[in-house]
Amino acid sequence: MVSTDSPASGQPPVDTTDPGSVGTDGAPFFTQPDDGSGHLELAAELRRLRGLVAGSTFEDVHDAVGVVRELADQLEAAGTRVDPLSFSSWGVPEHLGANPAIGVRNPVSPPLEPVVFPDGTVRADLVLGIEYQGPPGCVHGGIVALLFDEMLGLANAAAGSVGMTADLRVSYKSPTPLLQPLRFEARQIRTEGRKIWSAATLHAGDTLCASTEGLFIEPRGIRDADRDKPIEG
Amino acid sequence: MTDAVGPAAPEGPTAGATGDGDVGGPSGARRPRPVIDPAFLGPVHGAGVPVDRADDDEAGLFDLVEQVRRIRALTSGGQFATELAPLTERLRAVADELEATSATPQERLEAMWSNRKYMAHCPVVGRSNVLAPPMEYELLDDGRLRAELTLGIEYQGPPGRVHGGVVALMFDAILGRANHHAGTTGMTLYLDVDYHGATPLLEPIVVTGGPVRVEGRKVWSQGAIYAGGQLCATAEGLFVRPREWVRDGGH
Repeated sequence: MVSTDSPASGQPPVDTTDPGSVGTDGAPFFTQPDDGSGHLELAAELRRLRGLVAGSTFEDVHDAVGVVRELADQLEAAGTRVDPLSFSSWGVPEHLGANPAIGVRNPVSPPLEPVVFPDGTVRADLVLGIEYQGPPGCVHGGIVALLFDEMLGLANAAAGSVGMTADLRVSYKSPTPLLQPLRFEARQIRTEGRKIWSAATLHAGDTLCASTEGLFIEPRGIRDADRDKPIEG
Repeated sequence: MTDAVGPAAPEGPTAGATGDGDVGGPSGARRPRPVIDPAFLGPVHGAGVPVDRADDDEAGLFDLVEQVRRIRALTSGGQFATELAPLTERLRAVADELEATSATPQERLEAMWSNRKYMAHCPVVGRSNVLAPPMEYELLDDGRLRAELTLGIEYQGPPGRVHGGVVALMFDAILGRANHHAGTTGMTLYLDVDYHGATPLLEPIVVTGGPVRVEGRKVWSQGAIYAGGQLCATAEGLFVRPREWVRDGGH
């Protein structure tokens, strides 16, 4: 059983009162390369379609259905296949590109565009459209959780570690608005052997919408042998 | 990470037992691991009644989204033996045409909530939402919802596994909707997910959950995800019905 002890520090891992507290010297965390295949442009159009059909009031889109079906048939016939890289490796650009929260090649992702600060804080600013809606005019609580999980993973990556989520605790403080600028900030709090604790906040302007803490476990064999010891509860 | 289920708690969820719905947070105490009763949350098969299925597709919107999903599935993590640019051009033309006659997001939101057709647009079950797998609910006799689905590469986190955040998204959706069917619709105050093992991609998984305790406007709900009889993840959520919501008025 995995222990879920709190990190020793009782301090807020991220300043929940001042979303601008980490300063202005952030830099893009990483660049997802364009392999020149046209995949990025395709994903961008799919994302655009995603936004247009969300909650749409169109009366007849059968012509569009015809075209898109033809294109899907064409792709299917051309024999696209699964890229083994997307299954086999962590952290490589190909793997990141397919990620449902940050992957630029994945039409499901917003995508998050993380910026990293010298103190290890990872920040992402974004606006979410109608396709991310839960309650009226609000971002779906599960979407908040999805993006939090990714932000925590990014904070771990910024601290040089990789982990799989063992638990995720999300607290919702105020409804998260759709169609308005949102700011995620995440930071790793502590590690102990293969255990990693991280936390994040979500703000809309000065309003704290939600906060989270997660426990992550580093997979065996991904790091030095001396880290490869059992997790005991 | 294989045996992380707590003992059965017939009297209700841990957080509920402490009374007032302390939602913790980074500056507060970390919530204890929810006590989940696997007997309540087993991956039952059969006997469910299909619910929340939207079938009215006069405009062809569900068809359109289905075709977009096909492209989504064919291209996520894909390598191509064909030129994508001409294909992208045609998609762009389709999007341009739709955009020319599209209502504004604000107008669309108003239309959605005046005709109360939210479920077709939900990011998890919505047939007109490109983000949705889509998940399909069955309502069980005991008030739980159940969904069986197989997730593709577009939902991947760790290699070969469903993204932990996608697991959380499915839990929030199914717990919230099960609450709705029980007449206790609310907004999420907290969601705690425990990952007991990998949730596999490209294999059938069962997601299940429902309310376990109601107290005034608060409802505690729990859920589980199974793959081939193996427990992958469990969750507990606390939901609160805003005072201004009347029954059935919320999502």
